[in-house]
Amino acid sequence: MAMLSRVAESIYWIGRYMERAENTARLLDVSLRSSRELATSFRLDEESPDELALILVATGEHEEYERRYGAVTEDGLATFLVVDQDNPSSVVSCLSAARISARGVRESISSEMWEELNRAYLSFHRVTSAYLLIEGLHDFCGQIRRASQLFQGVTDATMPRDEAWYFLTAGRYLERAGMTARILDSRTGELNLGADEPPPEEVHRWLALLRSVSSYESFRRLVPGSIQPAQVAEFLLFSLSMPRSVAFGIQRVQEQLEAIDLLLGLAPSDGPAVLSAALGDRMRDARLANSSPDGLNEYLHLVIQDCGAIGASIRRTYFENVPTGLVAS
Amino acid sequence: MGPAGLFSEYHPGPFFDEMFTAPDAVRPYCAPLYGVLSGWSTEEFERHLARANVTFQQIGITFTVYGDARGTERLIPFDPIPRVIAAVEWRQIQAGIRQRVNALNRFLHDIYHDRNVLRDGVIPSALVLGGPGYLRQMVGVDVPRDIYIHIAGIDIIRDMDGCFLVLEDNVRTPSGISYVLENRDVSTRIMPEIFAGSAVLPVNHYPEQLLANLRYVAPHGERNPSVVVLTPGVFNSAYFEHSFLARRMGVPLVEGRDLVVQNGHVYMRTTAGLERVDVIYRRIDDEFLDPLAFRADSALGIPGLFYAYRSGNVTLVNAIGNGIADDKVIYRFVPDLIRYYLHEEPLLGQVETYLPILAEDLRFIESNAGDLVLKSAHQSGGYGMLIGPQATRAELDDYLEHVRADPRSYLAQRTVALSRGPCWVDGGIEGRHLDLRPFALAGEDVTLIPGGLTRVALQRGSLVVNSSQGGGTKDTWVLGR
Repeated sequence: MAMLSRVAESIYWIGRYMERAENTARLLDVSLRSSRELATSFRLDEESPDELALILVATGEHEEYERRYGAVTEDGLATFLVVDQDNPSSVVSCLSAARISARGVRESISSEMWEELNRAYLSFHRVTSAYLLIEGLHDFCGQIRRASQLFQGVTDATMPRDEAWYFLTAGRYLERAGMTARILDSRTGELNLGADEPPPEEVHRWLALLRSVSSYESFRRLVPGSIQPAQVAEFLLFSLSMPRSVAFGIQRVQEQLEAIDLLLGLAPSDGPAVLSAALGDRMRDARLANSSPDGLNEYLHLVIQDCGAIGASIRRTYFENVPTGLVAS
Repeated sequence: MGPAGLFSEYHPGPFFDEMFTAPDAVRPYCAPLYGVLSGWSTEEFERHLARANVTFQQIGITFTVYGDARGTERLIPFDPIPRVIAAVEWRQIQAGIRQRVNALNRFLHDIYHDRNVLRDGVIPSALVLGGPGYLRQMVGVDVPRDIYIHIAGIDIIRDMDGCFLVLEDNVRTPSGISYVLENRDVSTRIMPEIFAGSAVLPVNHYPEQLLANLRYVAPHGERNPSVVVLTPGVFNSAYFEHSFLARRMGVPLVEGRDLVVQNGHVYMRTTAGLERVDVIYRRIDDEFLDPLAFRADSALGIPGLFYAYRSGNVTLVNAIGNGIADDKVIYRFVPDLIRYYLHEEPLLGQVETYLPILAEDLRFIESNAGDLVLKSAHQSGGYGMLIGPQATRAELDDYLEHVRADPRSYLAQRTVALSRGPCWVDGGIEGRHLDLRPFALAGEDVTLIPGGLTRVALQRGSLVVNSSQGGGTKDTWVLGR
């Protein structure tokens, strides 16, 4: 028997929300540290507003932030991205949304998953910006990452590989692929792909970028030699061995959707499985070496658009699906 | 056996006590339990209780507090001292409840079809046909296998002499079974030693029995029906229970928005399209089920559900229109209904009840209000109730005003000195009043799981056992011998 659409949608969003909480925490943490370092080591403008504002470009919330907070400051960013309950993408809002979704589908997830989500929510939902100042944002972001990873681990160990698992995993990887693409996109303006020997502050920025998607060490291990900007971008986009690259995420999404369609006996010609397969194929043969910054920009926008289209298609195909011919059980 | 350990300070008081016949005399069937508990120190009680509470919190067995915007979830206090029911007592309760559920079921079929009971003058017609729970829409509707009451929670109390009395019938959407099962689960896990030497009957087959009965009443005798549990949603106070039952039966838990009616059939929206639904164990009240048939402002309901139901294409459990059978005014006539339909004498007594809508009763109520409990017929959970002996003259007069203005909505009952049982309170053992809600399931037969939900009024002297008013629960043991 197929899952209720509402339940499938909730589970898919649990995957997305938990991934988003973790990504936001990591991005904020790495970006703030990197901008401080840049300011001191390279004597850049102390305020360095552009550097910080890039975080908002990556999360796609620049306008919303400016409307409510005005100037971009560290405190403002930490409040907006971590504890602001009116920002639906803040870490606390994501945890809360994941827990509410889980509460509504408890019969479809394992008790251990519920307990981890419940625990994460109960530990963090009352955090204030004052607490972040005192206890340190860095520690807090570390705790969020660990809570998310613990949830993934428990999920992996306790959830049957059925329809619910596929939806949860698809949500997680689609969120991750989109986020990595947006983070890269937020940096294309300042990064010179063609530079053979980029200046030190640019190398610093590339490293920060890798760290913000927790890929610095794997990059160093897999790509020997000095840092080549085009290699970093290709790594984050196309690597099929690095679990936070766009292509890796899209491949996982495709696998989950194909498994769902197999289970449901669906063979959609233009469903989300087909869309993600097409995006995956295009990425497999792509190279960036000779791209201009504009070319990369355009390419990333297409990738981001495709991720959005896959999400919309998932919603239409599985969650809002009311076929004309009735299916009697 | 004299009182020992922490029980040495315990006094049963001027009530029927569930464990003691006198300060120094334990009821023989409670002796094995008492033997273990009297060896426990304060630390042991506290440790067991703390472990129980951690377990309840982890499994998330909470209820939502209404009127709290943040949707606060609370634990119902769990008392670690089980309540014991002897085998012979249980046989009486079981037979009495079966009889009562059968009679009420016959009553419902009768008043929605031939109305013989009214024609024969067993109950004044106006009380039934004008009752708020009587749904005209159900007249002439046939329900599968003529079962209206599939699940009943009949509240039972014990008076000064230990006699079991029915206090209230709940035959719409009675809740509490999840506590029965979780209380047992938790006490066997964290206090296995207290089961030593006892012959406690198991309760955990309830979900299996419920599922079998739900399948039994499928429309058109469908052999492999699709069964679901329908909940108002996560913000409902009993949501945990809805989710729990769906999980234990392995059936989908649906909300109104998951269901749709087309061509007189009910379907659920799944990832693979619409799938037919045959039996709905619904935990939504009648009036919210279908905005086309009942309250138009219901956002929880499914438009067209009633049409599908009366066309016989879907079974609702419990049936629609049962509210008239557990009306607190109709309660007064249930012993007559048992005699009328079954030609038997009631096996369980009930509390003497006076109805202000009857002139003679009203006069009695007016002159004896100070000795009676006055109740609203349409409120539950301990709300809308005035306990005469504890009320001032002014409170009584004020209440009687309301009664005279709308006599059909009130009733008065003799006060009953509820039995008490030993409870763990503030680091010691004290007697607290309690009641019992056994759960009856009707399918091919009416069956009961042994025991039920024992609720205790944890506040000293209180008679109100409802969880919304500071009540707690106990594991309830029925002994097999």
